[in-house]
Amino acid sequence: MVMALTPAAGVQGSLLDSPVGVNLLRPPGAVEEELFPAKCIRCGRCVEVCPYRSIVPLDARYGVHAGTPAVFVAKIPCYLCMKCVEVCPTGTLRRIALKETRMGLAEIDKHVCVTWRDEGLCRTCYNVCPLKEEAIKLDELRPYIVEEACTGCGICVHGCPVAGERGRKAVNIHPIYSTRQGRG
Amino acid sequence: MPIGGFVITVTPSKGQQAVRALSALDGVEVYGSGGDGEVIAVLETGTSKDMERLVDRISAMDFVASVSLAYLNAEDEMLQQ
Amino acid sequence: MGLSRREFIKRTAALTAASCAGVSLTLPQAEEAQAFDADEWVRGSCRLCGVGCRVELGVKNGRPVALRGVPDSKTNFGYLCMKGMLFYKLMGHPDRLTKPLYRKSKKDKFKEISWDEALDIAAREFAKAVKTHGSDSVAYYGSGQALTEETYLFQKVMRGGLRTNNVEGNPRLCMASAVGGYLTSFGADEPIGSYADIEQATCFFLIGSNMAEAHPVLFRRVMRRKLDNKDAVKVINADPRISPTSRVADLHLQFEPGTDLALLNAMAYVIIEEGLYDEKFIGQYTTFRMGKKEEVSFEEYRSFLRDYTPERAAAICKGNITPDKIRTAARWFAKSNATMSMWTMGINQRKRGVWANNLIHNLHIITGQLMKPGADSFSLTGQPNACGGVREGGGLCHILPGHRLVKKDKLRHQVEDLWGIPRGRIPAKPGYHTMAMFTAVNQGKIKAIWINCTSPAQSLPNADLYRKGMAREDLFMVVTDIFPTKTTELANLVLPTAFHFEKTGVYGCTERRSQLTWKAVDPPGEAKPEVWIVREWALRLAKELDDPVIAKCVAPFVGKEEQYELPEAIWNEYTQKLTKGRDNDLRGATYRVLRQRPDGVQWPAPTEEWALKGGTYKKFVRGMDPLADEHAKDEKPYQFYGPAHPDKKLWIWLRPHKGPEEMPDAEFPFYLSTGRVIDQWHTASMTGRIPELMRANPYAYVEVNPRDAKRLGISPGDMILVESRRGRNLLPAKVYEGPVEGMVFVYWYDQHEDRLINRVTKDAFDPGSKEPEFKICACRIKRVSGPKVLKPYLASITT
Repeated sequence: MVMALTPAAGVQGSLLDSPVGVNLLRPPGAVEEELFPAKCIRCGRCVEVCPYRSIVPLDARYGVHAGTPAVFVAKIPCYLCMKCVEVCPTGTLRRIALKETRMGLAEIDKHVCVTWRDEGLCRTCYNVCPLKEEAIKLDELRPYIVEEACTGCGICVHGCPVAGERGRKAVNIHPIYSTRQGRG
Repeated sequence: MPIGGFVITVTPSKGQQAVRALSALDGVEVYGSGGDGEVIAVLETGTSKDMERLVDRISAMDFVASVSLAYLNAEDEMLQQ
Repeated sequence: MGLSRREFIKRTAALTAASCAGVSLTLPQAEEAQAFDADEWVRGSCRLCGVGCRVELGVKNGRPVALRGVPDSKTNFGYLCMKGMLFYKLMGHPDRLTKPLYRKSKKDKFKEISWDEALDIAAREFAKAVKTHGSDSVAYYGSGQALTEETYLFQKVMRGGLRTNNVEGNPRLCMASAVGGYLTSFGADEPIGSYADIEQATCFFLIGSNMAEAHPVLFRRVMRRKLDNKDAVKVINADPRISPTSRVADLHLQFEPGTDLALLNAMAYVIIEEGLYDEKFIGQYTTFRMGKKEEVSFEEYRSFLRDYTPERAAAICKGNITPDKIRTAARWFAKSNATMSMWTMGINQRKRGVWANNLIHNLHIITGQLMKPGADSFSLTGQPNACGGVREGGGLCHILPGHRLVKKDKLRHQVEDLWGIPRGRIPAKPGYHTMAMFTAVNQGKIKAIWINCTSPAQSLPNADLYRKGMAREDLFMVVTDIFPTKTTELANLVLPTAFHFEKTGVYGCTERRSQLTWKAVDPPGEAKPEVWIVREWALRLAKELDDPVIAKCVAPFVGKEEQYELPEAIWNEYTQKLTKGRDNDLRGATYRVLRQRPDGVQWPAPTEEWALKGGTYKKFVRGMDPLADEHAKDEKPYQFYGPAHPDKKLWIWLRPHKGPEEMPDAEFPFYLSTGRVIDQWHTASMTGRIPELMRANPYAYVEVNPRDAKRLGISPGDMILVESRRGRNLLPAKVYEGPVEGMVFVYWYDQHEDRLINRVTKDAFDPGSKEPEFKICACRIKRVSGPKVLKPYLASITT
């Protein structure tokens, strides 16, 4: 009854690679990706406590990361209620405050955003940002990201009405802090 | 209370019938099915012994070709022991 | 709540099994905005707000595929907001109503019937009510979103045919106070200037308006003006709530709800006391009024204002208001080369909305900030055809087409003569205004009502009270719409109508501009244009009531093809006959001219020649407005020929401060106010069905000031009970430096019973305009629980 664990179509690379990528993030307070799969005991408590069902367990396609928690922000972003960091029994998600959360950094793709392309007027990312006027500001009505304040929660990605290529939006979260190198 | 995720392979032409018959069983929840006769089911039983019995019972159904376990959680039982 | 642990393990089990087998268990993603190619681009105007952006609908193989702005249009210069870019998705939406639906009792399920049966039933029920209970037992309740042709024809059949002035519409809920203000201050309805003034203004006074969200494309022009002239242009925003509009202001006056009249009078005080007024302008063109007949002097006005020193007003207004801020605002307003005020519901939806409008106009009149380029007192409308269809087309109980008052015999007889029906056919008494109409429904006085293109079950204040009436079994209710709404839930007969671009007709936006939208695609199923529905219904009514005059009302339109010929014939009758000689003269704005213009025509436009040039940018100015030349009574450059002021002058009103009807108290200590959010529009029956828009705001929130939240232990996302003397809502909290301390703010688009905020709002209304005070009532709030998973909700229909 043993089944070969070959990656399903669409999953790149080896089963040891971190699944984290654009718009696919770890919950708040996560330790570096180098440690995550070893530290996380896949207990599911963060998934269980998340009131918005933002945190989902990765399935078997993600190899050694199967069962570890992730947030697909384009589907359901993190609303920063900070409940998950309270319940993690192993410290894989460390207890941090809302504003210290760095799940990633939002970046506006000016070639896709209708406002930057000067085709329309959209400020949805600005409007929905929980740190409006801190993490997203307007420059002559065009939204831009303030790196120092962006938590990477992905609410802007979820709200963005414009579709880019390969499932991306006009604003996307890049998990630049997920690795040791990224944290410098 | 073990919980197991199974891929049950059935005769493709009898997919609908199989899903209905499997759903009718106590402790079986069908989550979906594929075009080549794969049925994704979650089995939940009181003990591991019950789980084995249920798998045998499913295997014996005439439209079922194989029952493969993909995931098993039995932490409650381990705690009891 | 989150997943239970068992559920979680089971889901993991299922997902793992599925991934091993390569079976996908995920649901397909919502449709995203895609690049497009169209075969043909058809011109029209945007379906949503009152700005009147010019758009083109892309059509491929007979199906709508995209919308884009028209760059040479003077309203939007090619810009659109996301609502305007996406509303084409509604045309093929699976929720569209496609067949007439009927049920005898409101307890029954609906069943599909034919158009023949539907029109017979509608005619029979209206005729029965008229025969047994008289003409005033029937009513029409329309919309600022219906085409002008539709509103005009409906009201013609109601008044001339069924002999009742029970003709109302949702513009009563949004701009009736602005109408009252324009008529009493300037003697003529609708703004004097245009959007084009924005590019000439050096000071903007934005009060009671979140135009950044409610009128985004117009706000872009304000911002452009400000950003291109950072030092030369000042923006003042006065609002109890910090909104995206206030974030760009040089000065934000955050007062407590309902203290606006004191603020405006205090600004006038500063202007008078500091000698910043335009003495020559006041002397030539104005008079001071206490009442309609009571003229007073400048000195009396001056002494009236002594009650409103900046110190006294600041004490009334509270919030962040200081005497210095009031002085600064007044000085900027008066001293700028050209000041433009803009406002919407914060001013109009007040117990004293007309007065609030008057006091804004006062500031412009005493400083002479009118008529010159860039200076205007400019009310913004919320709906695409509140001005064109309802204000101009005779869509309210007291007005007839062409800005005529029902109660003036001469004007009423003019209309009867133009329609070729006997004099006396239109009753001399105005009908029920909106709140009186639904009160009459509650009392069982109205037996049959036709609701067109609007959802009063959600949009009336104190909605539960009026829903009871609409649910009465002895009330026959017809609803014409494109989607199920909270109102179709209470209907007997639901008739599916054609949507924008599925029919032809004219919308008139905020700046006196009429624009034609040309039919581009076929309506789905058996949906029909309203003009066809009204014509066919009227012909049946004529038979049921054995009354040839009803048939006469639609006789000029019988036999006309309904997609293009019928609306054009109705438009021609309305413009050529009914607007001739009136201040909204539209005779030049024929379909032929409207099709040639990139952006429609601004009235007065008495000739095609004038209309082809775009019409009139500024009213009352000789050389710019053909009617100012025609009606000139002297050599002065400005001629106020409006129908409401016999002295042809502007009136400066002495209006005292008056608070809201319901003030917070110990039991209900908070102010409740409501409003819009950029991605949703009105009752969300349209925007709620566009996934890209719904995703950003799937459900309404209650905005709570962070200091109040701290005091009450409210965290973001917590579920909050918002309760007034009338009803309650259960909403998630947004803790946000928006509303002033002591005030909460709720978006009103959400259709879910728990979040339908008009169950909580108050139905007090302005005694002049009869517009309800949606914007202010007293409530209390209580944290009920932590965050809950909420699902977006839209009303559906069961057959």
